[in-house]
Amino acid sequence: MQMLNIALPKGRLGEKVLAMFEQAGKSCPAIHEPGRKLIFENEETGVRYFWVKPSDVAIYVQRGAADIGVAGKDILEEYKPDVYELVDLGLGKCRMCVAGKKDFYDDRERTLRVATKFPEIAKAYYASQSRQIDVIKLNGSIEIAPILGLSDVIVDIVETGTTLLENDLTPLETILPISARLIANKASFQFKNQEITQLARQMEALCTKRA
Amino acid sequence: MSKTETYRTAGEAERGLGELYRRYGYRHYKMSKFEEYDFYARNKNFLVSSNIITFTNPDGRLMALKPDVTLSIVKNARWKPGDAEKVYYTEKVYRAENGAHEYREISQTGLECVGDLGAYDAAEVVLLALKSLAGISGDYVLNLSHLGLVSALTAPLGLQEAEQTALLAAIGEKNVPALRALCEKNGVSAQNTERLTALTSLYGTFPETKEALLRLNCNEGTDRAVKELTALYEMLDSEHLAEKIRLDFSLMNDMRYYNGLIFRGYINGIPQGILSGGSYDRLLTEMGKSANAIGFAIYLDLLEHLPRSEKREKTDILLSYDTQVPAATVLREAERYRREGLSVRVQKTDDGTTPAQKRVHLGERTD
Repeated sequence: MQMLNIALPKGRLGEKVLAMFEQAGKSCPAIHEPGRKLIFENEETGVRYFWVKPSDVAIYVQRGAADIGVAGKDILEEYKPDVYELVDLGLGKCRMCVAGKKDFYDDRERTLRVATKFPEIAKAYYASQSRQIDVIKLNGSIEIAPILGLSDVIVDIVETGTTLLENDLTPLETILPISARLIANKASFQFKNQEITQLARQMEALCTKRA
Repeated sequence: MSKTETYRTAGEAERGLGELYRRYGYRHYKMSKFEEYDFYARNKNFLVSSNIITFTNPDGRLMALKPDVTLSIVKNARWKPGDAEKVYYTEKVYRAENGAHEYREISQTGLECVGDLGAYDAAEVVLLALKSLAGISGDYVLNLSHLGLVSALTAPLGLQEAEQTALLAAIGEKNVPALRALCEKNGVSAQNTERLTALTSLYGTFPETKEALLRLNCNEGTDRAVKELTALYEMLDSEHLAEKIRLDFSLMNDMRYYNGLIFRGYINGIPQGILSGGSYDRLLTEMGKSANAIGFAIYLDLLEHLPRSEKREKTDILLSYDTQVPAATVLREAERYRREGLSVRVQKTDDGTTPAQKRVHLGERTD
């Protein structure tokens, strides 16, 4: 049997996804043993898992180091990797939003300053509105940018809105809904087609059952 | 080249593929390293990437290092009525892939067939694509799609351009949930939604997908495409070349230029498509020519992903010698092995790090 290489996003989402893969018959007891190892395999079920940074999953899959993986729609929209997007797993649901101070007034005569971790998504969103913006790429603590006057608004992921609220910000517009997706390398899809399509179908069935 | 032997390096492949294309009567096409930038700018949507290296000629004209070969072949193609220009090329092209921050030199080989074409010519090009892949590895697959079928199913929906683009993107990603959401948003009927879903999920050999393909046939446009695909399959099958073909309509290309058959070749072990091609009659229309065209390109740099066989990496004999040994003796010994057909690398000392099948040391007393 050919081994199926699966890139899992480190963290809570990854744990949930792993549980789903295991339910779909791809168990791997070694992955539950404590330790700092990052790669685990089970020859019986023909699977090799590895934990990677969530934003790197798409890179592993696009370059074929992983046959399949689980990545958030935010990452897929930002980096546009050349992969198949097979299943919406319905996990890690949140939305990409424009947020600003509660008293934010949108002065269309001025260039809008947008702080974000997702410059491509922000640019595409405002380009679709024929709006010129000044993108400020930040790597974290995006919420303080409008408070300190670094930007007018932010484009960021909003899950519950608590962080925004605590920083006196409020969601202004929704850009797109986000959830975790099962993605596949296009070449692996050709040569491990049965394994990949079968697993995708099982994952889909598990999602339907959960819903 | 025997059946088991395959190309492992770009150089080997260039030679082997050139020989294959010549046997089918394709002529070698050689082009200059650069063309006027304006020529590429006018057709920039046809290019894989819009990032081109430009520079100014001494006479002030803006030039570009060639990012593509097809455009220049089409521009210069000459043929008589009822005839076609058939050429192959091996060239370096220069571009930065979209999203990449660096320009790269890319080795590309391929062929183009331009003129009054018929079913035979399309079959010949697909057959050569299959044989090219087989020359690289026995473990290959050719994805085959027909844009005529895709457009016959999507055009009647009457979507706005942005919605149509989003729909085609969803098909290209095999993203059924997104496809369904788009259909619902645009009021596409349940029957058409099912057809598009089936189109997106369809994958397999001709016999495996035959019934699904027939179920997609619902209008004049789909009928023409299905007949063309079926005829192509029958021709290739009679030559025992159809088993590596996988029908896959998620394979897309820009419909402003491409129409009809499109295909992409994969080799097991290479993480992306190594061969890409299709028919592009619409590019010729854009360039003011009325004719058909079909061709493909192979990205030879991707061969680096394949493991090299150990034998090729190692020389047969590593010959080392003591400083007292006369140079003439070393030369004589090395040439003696080489005459036997062995490869020999001569080094003063052997610290054991250079790979070799056999190690020979010439000491003081050798002579």
